Amino acid sequence: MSPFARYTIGIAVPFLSVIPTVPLLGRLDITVLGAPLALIWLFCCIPLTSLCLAICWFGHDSKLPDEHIDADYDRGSAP
Amino acid sequence: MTVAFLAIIALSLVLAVFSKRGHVHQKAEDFFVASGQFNTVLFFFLAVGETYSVATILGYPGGVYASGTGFVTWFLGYILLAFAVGYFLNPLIWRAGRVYGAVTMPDLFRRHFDSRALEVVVTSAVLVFLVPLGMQQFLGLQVVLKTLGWPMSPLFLTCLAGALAFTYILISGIRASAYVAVLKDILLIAAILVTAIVALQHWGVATNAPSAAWKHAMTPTLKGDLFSITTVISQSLGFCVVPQTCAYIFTARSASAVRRAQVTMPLYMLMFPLLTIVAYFALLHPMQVGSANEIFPAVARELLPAPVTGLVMAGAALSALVVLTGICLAIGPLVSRNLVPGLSNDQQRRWSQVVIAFYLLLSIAGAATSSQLLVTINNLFYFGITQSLPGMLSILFARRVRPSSIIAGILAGDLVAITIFELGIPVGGINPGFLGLLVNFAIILIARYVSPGETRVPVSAITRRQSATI
Repeated sequence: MSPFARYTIGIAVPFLSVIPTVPLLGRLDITVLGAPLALIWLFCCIPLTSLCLAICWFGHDSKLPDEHIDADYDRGSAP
Repeated sequence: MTVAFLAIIALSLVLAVFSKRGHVHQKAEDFFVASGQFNTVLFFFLAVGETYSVATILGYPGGVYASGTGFVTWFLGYILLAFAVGYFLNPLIWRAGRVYGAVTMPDLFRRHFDSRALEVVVTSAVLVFLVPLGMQQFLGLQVVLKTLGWPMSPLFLTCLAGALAFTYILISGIRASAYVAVLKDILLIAAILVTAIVALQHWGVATNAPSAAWKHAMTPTLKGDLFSITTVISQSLGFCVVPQTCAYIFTARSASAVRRAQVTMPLYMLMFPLLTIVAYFALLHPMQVGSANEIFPAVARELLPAPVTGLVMAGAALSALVVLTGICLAIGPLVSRNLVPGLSNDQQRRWSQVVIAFYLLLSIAGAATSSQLLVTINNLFYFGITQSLPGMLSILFARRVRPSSIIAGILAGDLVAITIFELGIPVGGINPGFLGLLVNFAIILIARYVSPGETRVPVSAITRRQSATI
């Protein structure tokens, strides 16, 4: 998976799914099972976001070698 | 109800003691970040345990009840998108933590920029905004304990809760928090699921109608839209610089452990549709509540048998206590490690415990004198905390940013956000924290081009081989 596709799927798709909900769907007078459409769509964005991140993980990041770095915590504190 | 509640609290203490197994003599780094040994499962439970506080189980239904679904958009939106942002940024913050031997977020700033002044400014700014968050948890605990109907003063009960949180911390620090978080998360999901299902079963014919004020709050306005959009953007981006977020990122064993947990974290949010059902049930059926924050306990008490209500309340109480221990374990080292220099490893741990005890007392006193809506405190917290974001992005991605410009950015961002909020300056509904963040970014970007600093290797460009030599 290219870096462009990774960022598009992992960041752009979730943001473009959630942000326009406010000005667009929020103004429609449509209800599903008595709940506003905007609310139902937002709930659908929950598994969608997880799916997007799963695609990034299985399509790219799981194939990279894992990072294991030993930390020196005494160096991290103020002298 | 009381027996079920106390049984869960006793079980949480057993788990806290169990978490100490094999870690009897803890060094400061083990006490605060578990020496970076948590696998994906423990990291997941700690992360969601710290994310969904009492503001979720009480504040969210309370917000829907008080303000309608306009509130839902930004509350859900920012948490959901924070997981997407975190998938990309958190592994880099984890790498920075390992490379710089960090236990706290300001450790990263001091080591990367080699600036003690920047460390003190970041620490001070973070501490100021963390104070109301502890108060928020105690306000939630007051609501939960009120539901139990014990014949004791609210102040005495919150002091007991504070003592319990302190006990978890004394037992084994972040390890106790993680183990109790497992119990809390299972209980919380079960509590919300049961309450929502029973609410659906008792739905029947709605005998109440939403008030005109509630319907008015549901009507979209440009001001409301701007607030939602700017809040979602600033808080989802700023989520990764919340001190507790950094602390739990540092507990992870590897970068992959962080990423794998981030993939599944949004699914935990499926409890929000259930909480919305509970809020709508309360809205459409007559119910006696003192404040909007009491909606969830009120529905549980109305519909569930007393022992089950006790379990639900225990889940809500643990959600406040786990987050409280997370905040305390973030604050302790901020003082003993970042504000007070030169303390030994053992002194850092002991001084942190003193700071934590003082913080708990301060939060209890704050909760006893305030009754702000839980979500308002949530917003106030993010106004200030998100101002560390430009600095964090500089650590991860930028080469020539001066520490002085980051200091100026944080101070200006905080000043803008708090001035707008406190004076009620009209900005068309835009989130004050978002405006502060814009000013903050502008200062750092202008300074970067007018007077670039010395070249530093950003963490995103550090390879595994280099990390061993830094």
